[in-house]
Amino acid sequence: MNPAAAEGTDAFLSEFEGICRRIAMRAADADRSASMPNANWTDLVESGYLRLFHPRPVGGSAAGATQQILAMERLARACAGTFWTATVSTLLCGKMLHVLFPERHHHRWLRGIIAGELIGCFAASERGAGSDPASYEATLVDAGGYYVLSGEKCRISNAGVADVAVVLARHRPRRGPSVEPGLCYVVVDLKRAGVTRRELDKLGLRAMSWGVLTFDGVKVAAEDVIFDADMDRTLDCVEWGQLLQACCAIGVAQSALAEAVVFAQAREAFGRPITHLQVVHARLADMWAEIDASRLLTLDAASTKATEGKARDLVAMAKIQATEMGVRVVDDAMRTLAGWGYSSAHQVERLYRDVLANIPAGLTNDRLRELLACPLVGADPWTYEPFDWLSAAGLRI
Amino acid sequence: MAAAAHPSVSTGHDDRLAEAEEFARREVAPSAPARDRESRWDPEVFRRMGAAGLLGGPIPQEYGGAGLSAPEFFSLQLGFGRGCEDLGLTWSWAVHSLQCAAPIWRLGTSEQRERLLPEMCSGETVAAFADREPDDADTSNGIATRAVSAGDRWRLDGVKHGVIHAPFADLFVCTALTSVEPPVVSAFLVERDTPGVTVLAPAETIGVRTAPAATVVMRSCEVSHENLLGSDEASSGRARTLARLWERALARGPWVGLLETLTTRAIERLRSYPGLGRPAASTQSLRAALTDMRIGVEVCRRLELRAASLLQRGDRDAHRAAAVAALRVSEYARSITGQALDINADADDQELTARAYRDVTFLSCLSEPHDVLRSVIAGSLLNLG
Repeated sequence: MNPAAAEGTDAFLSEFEGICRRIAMRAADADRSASMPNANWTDLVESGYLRLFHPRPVGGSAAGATQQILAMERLARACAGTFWTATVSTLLCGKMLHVLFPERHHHRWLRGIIAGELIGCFAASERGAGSDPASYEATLVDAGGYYVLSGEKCRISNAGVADVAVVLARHRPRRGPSVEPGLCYVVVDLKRAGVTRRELDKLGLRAMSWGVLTFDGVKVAAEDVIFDADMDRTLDCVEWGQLLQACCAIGVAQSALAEAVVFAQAREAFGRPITHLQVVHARLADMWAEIDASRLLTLDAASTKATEGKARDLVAMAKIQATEMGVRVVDDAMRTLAGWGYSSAHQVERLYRDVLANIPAGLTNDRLRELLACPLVGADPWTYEPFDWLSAAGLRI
Repeated sequence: MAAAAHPSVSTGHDDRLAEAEEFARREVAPSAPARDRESRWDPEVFRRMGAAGLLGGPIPQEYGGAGLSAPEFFSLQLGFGRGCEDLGLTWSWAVHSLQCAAPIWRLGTSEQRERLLPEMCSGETVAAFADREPDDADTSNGIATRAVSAGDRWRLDGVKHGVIHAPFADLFVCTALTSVEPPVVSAFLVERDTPGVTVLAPAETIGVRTAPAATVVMRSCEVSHENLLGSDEASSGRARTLARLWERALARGPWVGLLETLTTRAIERLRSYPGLGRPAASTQSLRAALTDMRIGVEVCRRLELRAASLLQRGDRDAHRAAAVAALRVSEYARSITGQALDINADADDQELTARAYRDVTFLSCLSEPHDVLRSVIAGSLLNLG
């Protein structure tokens, strides 16, 4: 499938590009004010973006994989913070609700999310825990007939604005590092008594809310809990998050390349545009080739997932590759703009801040590399193996 | 194991791929270490590649080829690459089939096609692409070799560097300027025994030793007008561009297979670590390197497949896609062979890993400079030419 061909004939994408251009014009202000303009949300709802990822019975438009990826990239190009807000809600939270929870939750929450009336989030990370879910402390306790959720989730996208959260909590007390953690998924109405929120300051994605959700004895109905979630289906949902990060990196990198090209064509030095300098145009070529390669891999990962329901390793690899490419390419754009890259008069400095979010997001790339390699080499990524790194270096305690 | 390490393996032509892999494992891999040590190319191996339908892959069946589309040919290359353990020989295949046979097929006269292609497909006739020239040549378009028309003959004068197959090739596809102002680069079919052609002794090289190269000197070398590739200078003038396009798009196809094999071996190597007394401290970083090798392989396969597909369709983006494939696959090949060496560091048998590393490194001297590829991509990006 040639993406260029898809773009040319796709009416939705052409119209969506127009909407994205409007969103792009508001991006600098959104970043400065650390808030998403209401107009962005209205535009997105009207565009049908939120519906692309879901089947028709729940109000989706059942878009194909290629269209989903290309749409995500376009939105990320326009405003990464808006992209994250909308996509975390509809894709990450939305898919978890759809895949892990029964139909009554689809009516209660999913339809509203897809229609843009509600915003969702996924709350797994904690202050002291990210890659190691066994060390989560937020706990769901059986109160006889209902449950009570207590604890804190941290670094949660959409925390400040979400109506609903899918929370990953433990339902068994900690017994030690190697014991099955006993996690469960809890749908929490964030307007319930006992829920408080606090915003966290951050480097980029400033249009997106990001922060802490504190649950102080929040009452939860039994029907809002999924115990022992199917691991396979859970990983299917995790893949959507990884595609989100990959697409964000590709979109932001593409914007950075576009900025760099415009700048380099206009900027003169020594009597000619700097595109005439070999280092400059060679760097632009590398940037193009890098984005191109990432887009190919991500599109293929998404297509494979659409055909087979999952694409585990391929999606994870696409995430690692694209997110690291994004940082390299935006760095190259900074170099192309040189001094002007440092100024807020150009958008590259915002893109630089935004693109960095994608490497640690979802599962951070260090952890992902380990998860990909361990099964192949017979190592266990869930058990810490003490090792002696001193003797090899000729040291002794 | 291979499928687990390399998801989405299918290019859609699995039988052909498997056959090519089996062929390479049986006919090419066993003799690769010796051929490399001796800087020796083996005509018998080449003829067997011909008989197996590899050399004439994309060439139509009427000329003795297999009539494959570019994506189908890539499947063949992928399989061959997996089994061959010989990156040098894959370049031998590339220059013969992509830089010589393909231009003769696409641009040659019917007489040239009928006379030359069948034996090129079988491997009886070995071709070499004599294009690159010494740095100190006073060049236009990178070419200083001149072809001057004299009566019913052309007289060729010039020096060609790093010509793979030159020590034993029967036929040179040779580029030369048929006009200086404006510069027109045409292509000629020069037989080895043509008076005025001298092939110098090959120099000792650190890599690609299974596909030896040498300098070719032409002094007052006279060929008939029938030796101009194509019916006229116009079609001949496209030969160099076509050879470059096909080389960029497809020459590194087999590399993807070889890089897959290196990755599979790296997995096997890491699995056997506990018994080797190697400090466990280095293991996590090597696991990370393994993941990066796998990612590189996945990217390379898709870049090659896309380049092949666009080439086949004659898509306007084919030139850029080919340059992107050549550039990124070369770069990934460097990092993957380096990572394979790191993972293999203490192993008793490093022959394949070390040889692949040398071959990839040296190939960047023999093939186009990466900056040329970057210029092609930038030109497309900046709407220049």
